[in-house]
Amino acid sequence: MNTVILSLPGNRTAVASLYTAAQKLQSKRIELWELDGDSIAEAYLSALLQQHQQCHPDVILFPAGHLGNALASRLGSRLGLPVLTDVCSISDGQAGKAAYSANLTAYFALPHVFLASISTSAFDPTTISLPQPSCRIFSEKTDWTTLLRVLPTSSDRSELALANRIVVCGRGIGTRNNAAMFGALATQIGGILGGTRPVAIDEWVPSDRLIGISGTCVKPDVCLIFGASGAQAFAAGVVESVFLAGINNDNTAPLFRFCDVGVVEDCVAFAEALLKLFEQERSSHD
Amino acid sequence: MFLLGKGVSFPMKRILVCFKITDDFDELLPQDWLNLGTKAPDVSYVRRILGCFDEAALENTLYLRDLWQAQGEEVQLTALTLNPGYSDHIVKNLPALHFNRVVCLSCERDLRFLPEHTAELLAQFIRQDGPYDLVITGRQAPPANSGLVPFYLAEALRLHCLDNLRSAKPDRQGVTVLQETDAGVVERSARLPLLLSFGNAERSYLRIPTLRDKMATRSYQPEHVVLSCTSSASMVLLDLHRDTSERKCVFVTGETVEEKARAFYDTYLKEVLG
Repeated sequence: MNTVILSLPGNRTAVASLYTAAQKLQSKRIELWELDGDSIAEAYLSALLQQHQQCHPDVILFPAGHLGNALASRLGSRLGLPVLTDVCSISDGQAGKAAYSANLTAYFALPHVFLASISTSAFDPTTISLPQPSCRIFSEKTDWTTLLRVLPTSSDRSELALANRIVVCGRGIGTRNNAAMFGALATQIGGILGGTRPVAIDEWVPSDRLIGISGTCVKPDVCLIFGASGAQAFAAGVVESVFLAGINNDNTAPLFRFCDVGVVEDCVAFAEALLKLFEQERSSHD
Repeated sequence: MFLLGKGVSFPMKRILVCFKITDDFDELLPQDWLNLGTKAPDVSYVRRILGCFDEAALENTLYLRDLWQAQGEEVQLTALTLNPGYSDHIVKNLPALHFNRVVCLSCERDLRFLPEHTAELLAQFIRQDGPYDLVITGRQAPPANSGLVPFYLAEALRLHCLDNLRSAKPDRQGVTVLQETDAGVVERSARLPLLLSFGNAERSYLRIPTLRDKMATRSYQPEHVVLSCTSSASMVLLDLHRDTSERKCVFVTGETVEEKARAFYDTYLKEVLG
């Protein structure tokens, strides 16, 4: 099986994870094609089709994400090849991906020739030395759309994905104003603040701090979750954490199914009490 | 080359939004997820909801309509859904929100993990019923959560596509959008016709119709169209598996919130923070 890994510039960690996925497919030959240019998938399609005609790889792997998923699906459609997105496991001719809003994993039989986008966080990066790109695919100019500006971001998204300690706010924190206190708690534990989808959508926390399958999947050493119900689409984004604690005033909340430690309490009052303890601890050390 | 609208001057803006009515899977009992094989779980007792991205697509369609109408442009809105998801409650709200047409497509086939067929059925209808200036979708919906349908649809209709959108508003060329990319958020302008696919949008919740509008449209009947689809699946589903490994949650006890915080801090937090 000849496999091509499609990489975005500057993301060697993702390439290393895709390499691991390619190895799991028992690929005889693994080649790297590097994209260079725009973030619009259509701008690469002609060049990719040309390159495909020359090389005829059996499998093309893309990093799951905005560009990777768009490219996999559009190229697959033009080549008439099957496509699987957001693959999180590969073994024995099967690939698994989250389905039913992350309540189930769907396993598909892998055909001989296919395209797939790979959830890079699900595959440990290979430790072997990565090959140099065998070709570089440049984006073409698009005349139907114009880039007006790149918005400044409040944080680097990879900062959340790589964080070792995270405090997560759910709707149960009550108001946007309370988010600052949870931010202070995150700082106190040496971590960063994230939020569930409703909280991020309403911008109680920056929208690029959304945790869950529609945002970033995290796996910190410590994850403290305040006021989240524990919907599965969120749970799938934190379940790889080493230590998970949940605080919710409803003892039947699904949140407690995937936590190591639970506290049935008003999450705002509990966070205030925790901050006071940190303060006392600091005063006693001073 | 485009089938929809190139070089055609429309008397009004025609917008079609595709949406999916799904089941609230968070309401399903844990045991109903087990031993499914490739079958769908029993969802007979859970409520039906709009997929979250499709809800954003519907609301942003209304928002675009509002802005174009404020500029004096006429806008015709069609809302299109594909069975098996159907909810009278949801579908009947749409005319009250001034969608001009609501169309329900149905196909006898189990389309759960067939995004290419779903897109082809939607495209069949859109080709017959078009041209449209804008086709709008949500980013993805359960059960497959593939995210493939908007792209397959764009390919089938040969439309340019902007995906993972946060917002869209009219501009002189067509629309200006905020798009979430791998590297951050960008603002783009694009000309019509176009397919827009909404992700984690700023306007995520569908507005609620007034009682007056609900009363005025209560006799509206959505159009039902039956389509057929015969081709085979390109990716064969083998199994649906539920990960049953749950953590054993230990609850912190105490009379007051301060006691619980102290117990949590001393017993767990100090240790994990090192």
